[in-house]
Amino acid sequence: MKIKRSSRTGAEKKLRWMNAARKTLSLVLLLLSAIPMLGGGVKGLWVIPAAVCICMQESMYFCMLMGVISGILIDLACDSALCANAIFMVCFCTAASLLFSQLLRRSFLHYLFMTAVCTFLRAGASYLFTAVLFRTESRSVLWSAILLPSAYRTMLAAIPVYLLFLLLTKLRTGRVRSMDAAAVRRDW
Amino acid sequence: MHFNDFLRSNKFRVLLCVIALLTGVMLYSVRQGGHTDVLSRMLYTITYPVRQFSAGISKQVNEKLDTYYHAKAYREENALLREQIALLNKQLIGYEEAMNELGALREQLSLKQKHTDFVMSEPATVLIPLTNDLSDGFMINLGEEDGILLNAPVICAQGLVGVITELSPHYAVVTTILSPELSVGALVLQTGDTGIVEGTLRYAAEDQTKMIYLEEQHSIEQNDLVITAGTTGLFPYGLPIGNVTETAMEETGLTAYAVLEPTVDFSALEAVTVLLDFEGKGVSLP
Repeated sequence: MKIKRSSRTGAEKKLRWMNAARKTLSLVLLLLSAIPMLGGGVKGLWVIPAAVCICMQESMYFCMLMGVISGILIDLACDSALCANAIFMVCFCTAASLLFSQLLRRSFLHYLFMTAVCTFLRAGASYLFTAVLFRTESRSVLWSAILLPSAYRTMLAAIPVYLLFLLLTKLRTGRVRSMDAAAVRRDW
Repeated sequence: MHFNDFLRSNKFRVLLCVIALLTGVMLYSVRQGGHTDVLSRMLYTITYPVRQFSAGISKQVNEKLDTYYHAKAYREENALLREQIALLNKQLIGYEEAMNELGALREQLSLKQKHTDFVMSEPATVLIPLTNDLSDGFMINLGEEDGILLNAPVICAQGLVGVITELSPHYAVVTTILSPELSVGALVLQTGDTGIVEGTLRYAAEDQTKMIYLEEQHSIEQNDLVITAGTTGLFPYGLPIGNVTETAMEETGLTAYAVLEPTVDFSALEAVTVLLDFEGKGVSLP
């Protein structure tokens, strides 16, 4: 149900402003988290924990958009076929958003759990597609020298990324938080 | 919301549309050999500065971390490499010495094959050049105790170097054919003209020497070879001394002289041989 612009209360205006600011900052942080992984070599995929962080707080449509962006960033970083990771990430972000709103709590442990699931699923999928289907030689080396270290580094990167996104929650006052939660429920 | 509700919601339809769109882009990308021409290039172009920046930061961080984590290993490796360098340097010194000795022995062998009557010392190393000596005199590492004799000729494969003029138990001083102090009976191989090779300071400064007392009517030409005459009993016959570069008359007008370019390069001399005995030694011919 849409509220007319003129009939919005001050609190609602503040809430909308806060939401816009938070989403913009989330996007900026997601793009910034791509910087460490674009440098080449074996790197952690920093956008995965960033995307999970966003899934903890934002609406499903926004999560889908972030999934697409983070997936394309991974594609660029890993030099894989364009949108291959984007498909995976959009599915995962939608599922994560659904789970965080219905089943999981917005806690650090659940965040770590979801990050680990995403990281290792992606690594497994990558191994499956690149090594098994295309019968790449020295598959074990691909797993042990690239995919696994990258996954470990992604898990390590989850901690600073969480701390960064924690700052975003400062944009939510207690009242706003409850209203936002209500807005989320309304979305559903 | 139940899972079934989600499947019936607009969100699910949007998700399916997004997946379909992304799949289409991916298939197109794969069909194009991995990258779509326009979109991928655009994305790569946009992210290129970020990639460069990231690579720079990453390299620096990796270097710092590497230094920190592997400091002990690097220290040990450094010590090991230093030891190896020291060992290699020692081997190199030994190698250089061996090569020099080999060269000297080869020269001596060639001399021995040419002059079967020669009794030669072991190869002597040129130690140090004499200070303020225009005639390139030098010290060798053999002396009286090695059987070296005073006034013994000093030779190398290229020819006559000089004579021993000072002797100590372990060292000897060689005066070269550039020196005014040394006189050697010589003849021009091509013409048979005879004379005395005796250096002058003027020619010694230019690494040349002079053959004097030539007959006025000589037939010497440029590049003729001058060898020892072997008439004084001090030098054997046939040791190359130098090549004629020019000839002229002395100021007195009585005799002519020739300027010689020595066959021996004194600046590159590293080893010489002292001639201890030869056929005709001490026998002065009329």
